Amino acid sequence: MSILAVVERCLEVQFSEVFRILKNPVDEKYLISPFLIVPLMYVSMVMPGVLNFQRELAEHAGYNAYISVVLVGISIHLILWMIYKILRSNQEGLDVTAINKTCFGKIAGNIINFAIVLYFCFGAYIKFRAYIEVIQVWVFPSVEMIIICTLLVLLLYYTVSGGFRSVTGLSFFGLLISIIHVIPEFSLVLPYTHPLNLMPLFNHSITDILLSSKSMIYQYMGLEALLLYYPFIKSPAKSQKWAHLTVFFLTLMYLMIIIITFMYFSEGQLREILWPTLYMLKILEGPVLQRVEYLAISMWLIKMVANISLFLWAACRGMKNVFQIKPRASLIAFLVGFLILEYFLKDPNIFRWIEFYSDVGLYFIYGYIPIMFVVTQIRKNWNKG
Amino acid sequence: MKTEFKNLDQLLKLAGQSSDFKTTTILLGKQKVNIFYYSTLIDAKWMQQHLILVVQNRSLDSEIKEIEDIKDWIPINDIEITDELTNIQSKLLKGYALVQLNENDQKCALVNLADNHGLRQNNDTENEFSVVGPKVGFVEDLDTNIGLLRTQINIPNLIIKEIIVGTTSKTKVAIIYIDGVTNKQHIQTFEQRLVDIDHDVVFDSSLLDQMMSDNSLTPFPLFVSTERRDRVVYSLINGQVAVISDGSPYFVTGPSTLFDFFISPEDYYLPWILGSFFRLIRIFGVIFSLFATSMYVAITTFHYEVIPKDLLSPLIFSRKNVPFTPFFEVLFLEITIEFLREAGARLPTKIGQTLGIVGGIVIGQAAVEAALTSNILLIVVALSALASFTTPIYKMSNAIRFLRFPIIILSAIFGGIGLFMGVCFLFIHLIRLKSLGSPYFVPIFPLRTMDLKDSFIRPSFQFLYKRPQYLRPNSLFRYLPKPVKQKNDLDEE
Repeated sequence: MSILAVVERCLEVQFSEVFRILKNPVDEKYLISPFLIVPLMYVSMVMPGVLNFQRELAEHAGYNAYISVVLVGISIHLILWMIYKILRSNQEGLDVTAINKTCFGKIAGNIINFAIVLYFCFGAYIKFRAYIEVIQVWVFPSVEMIIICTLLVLLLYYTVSGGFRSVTGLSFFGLLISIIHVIPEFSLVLPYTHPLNLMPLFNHSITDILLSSKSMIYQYMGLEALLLYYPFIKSPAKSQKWAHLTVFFLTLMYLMIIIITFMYFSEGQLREILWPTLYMLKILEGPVLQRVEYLAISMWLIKMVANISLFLWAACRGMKNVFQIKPRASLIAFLVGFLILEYFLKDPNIFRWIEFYSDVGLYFIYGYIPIMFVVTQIRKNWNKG
Repeated sequence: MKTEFKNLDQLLKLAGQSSDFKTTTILLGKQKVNIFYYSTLIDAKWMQQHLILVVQNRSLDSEIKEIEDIKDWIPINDIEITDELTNIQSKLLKGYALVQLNENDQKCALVNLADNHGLRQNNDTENEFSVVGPKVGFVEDLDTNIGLLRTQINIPNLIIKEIIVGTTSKTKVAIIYIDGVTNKQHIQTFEQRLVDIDHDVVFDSSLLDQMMSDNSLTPFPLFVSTERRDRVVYSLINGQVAVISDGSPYFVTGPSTLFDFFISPEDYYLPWILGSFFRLIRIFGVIFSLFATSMYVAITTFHYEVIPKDLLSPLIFSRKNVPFTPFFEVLFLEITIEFLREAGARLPTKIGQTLGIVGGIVIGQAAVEAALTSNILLIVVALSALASFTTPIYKMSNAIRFLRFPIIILSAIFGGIGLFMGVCFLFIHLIRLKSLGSPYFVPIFPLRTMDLKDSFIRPSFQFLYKRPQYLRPNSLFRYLPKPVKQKNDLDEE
């Protein structure tokens, strides 16, 4: 074969690559209706953090931390708006990996894409580890976790291998289950609260409140998964209002939890408690059940599996877009990696890992997304001009 | 399995090896007319009256020259003149008699003398019983069944397509749908899947059910199979497709959803409030029977904190002499109940009932007295067994009875986490399942709010005028909603 033919062949591959990206690659039958973005976003954002975020939040701003919740909520609305702008800047139906490639070229774009894949994979692992931690602390302090991990991994494999549709379905049930039990639980705690704990309403500096906000961002991380599953939404433009509604609802929920927690515990008490949300549930008692937190943690499993599998799915999808690796192969690789890490990594301090992930997420959400926003907007205007 | 024949003689020679293959020779003047038939498949009296006697009488004043003449002679409609060996072979085996004018003639007449003896003409709905409503069930004969259907769907739009399935049994399988209602895609999928089946004998429609199903790795039945006429008619008018094989009293209808299995036709015969209530009871029964015993195992093994103190003392009291772990206790009782169920299903009805009562009461009582189980658990297990039988479709109730065991095992190992792992597996499995290419868990996921109204409750007929949307029917309206007859506003006329 002459060199010319080789060059020609390369060019051909390049062109077919371009065409593959340009046309909407997702088959109609895999699409989900725009409404289903609600469970997806809810599930991707709510994590075990909701069981203990109050303590860290109150560390700087004390009982004024509810302001941080509102501030972060507003900023997340802005970020969400930017995400939609980024995704819509190009053709409809392109995810962020394709946009990276068109904006930064093939090599630089793929490096960024690979970083994104790593981020999602790491996020999935962190969540997996965090939930195992919760189980270990609350349910089975003495049991070897490797069996539970294996079963969880199987469960994750079964979910993700069903494709985006089954991930969405599980998220839907995760949302249903958490709505069914979260709202009654917190309303039942209400009689035991002391509203005066909240006073004074404003006695911390702006700096303190902003410092508190930083820890709150972790509770919204996961929304960036939208960057990858966007092409799977049928008429994506319609989903924007649902997305904003979810963020609004979630902010409201966090606000409710934080205010109830502050009214329930005194500030000194809160500092000593590792899992404030679960401690509050301890007080509830029904005719057939008491200590519902044991069952609540178990119920959380469904939402956690949905959450982790969404992140895993995003990572696999990214791998497919970047390296053309079959999603199933990368899924198996990721899950085996989880098990190996679980077996060999006897690091009891999961909080340090979460902190690291949290920092990365912070840069991702407040660094990468605004930059991408600016780049795509400039590109768009430049193309128009 | 297939044997190629070179000529008719060879075929007749092979068939003659069986004792029920008979040859009758009639002498018409000089002519020797041979009639070949399987005596077990034909109606002998009918042959005597309408074939032999008629031919003999007729031959007194006229002569038969060609085989085609026989059509004018015999007062039977279904006569075919052919020399195709495969056709002759299959027709002979369906109860046709072969009339050969002269020996060594290749062209012969096939006369339909098939007999339907041994088949029931009607049937009570014994396995899907309902207190209110018709008790018409299907029988083992395809034509009778279709006739039964036609009495209730009295329009020419009811289309029946026949396909032959089974290399050995050559069973007629009918695909039934209402033209203009059912989505063409469902019909095509059904047809394609039936054509693709490669199997020797089709014993029952349930076999087709399994061979057509989208996923064989599931305990759930993916198509409703029913012997009730009203249920088949209801699914047909809703835009589903029904399939039945000859020789089976069970129709298979699809595409089905999980909720179809918890609907009883009786819901529609009772006032909607009662119908809805009973349907909810049924759904609650399923959830209860799936999770009650595994909850018991999870809570008594791991999460005793969850039990309130008032309930704790009776529980401890009932369990204090039991030497086993809750898991063994539960397994012992559950397997006892499974034995009783299986024995009851295999034994003749009368013995089965007695055995059920004696076995249930005696074994249960003795097990508690011998301190093998606690009596609280006995109550829970008995209740959940009872609850699992509220499901109207037998196949579904079997699936639910089976599914309890993995969940019990999971909750014995991991307590509440295990229980919810089971739930999670169940959810994902249901989400991934498809019946005839359309999702099985509809209208919950994907959420179809319009179809939700006839799932958990049975709404008033005022709201039932639309067909389910997930079936994508060609016409959406079943009937026009009736206008409100009377509207009274606080004493005003």
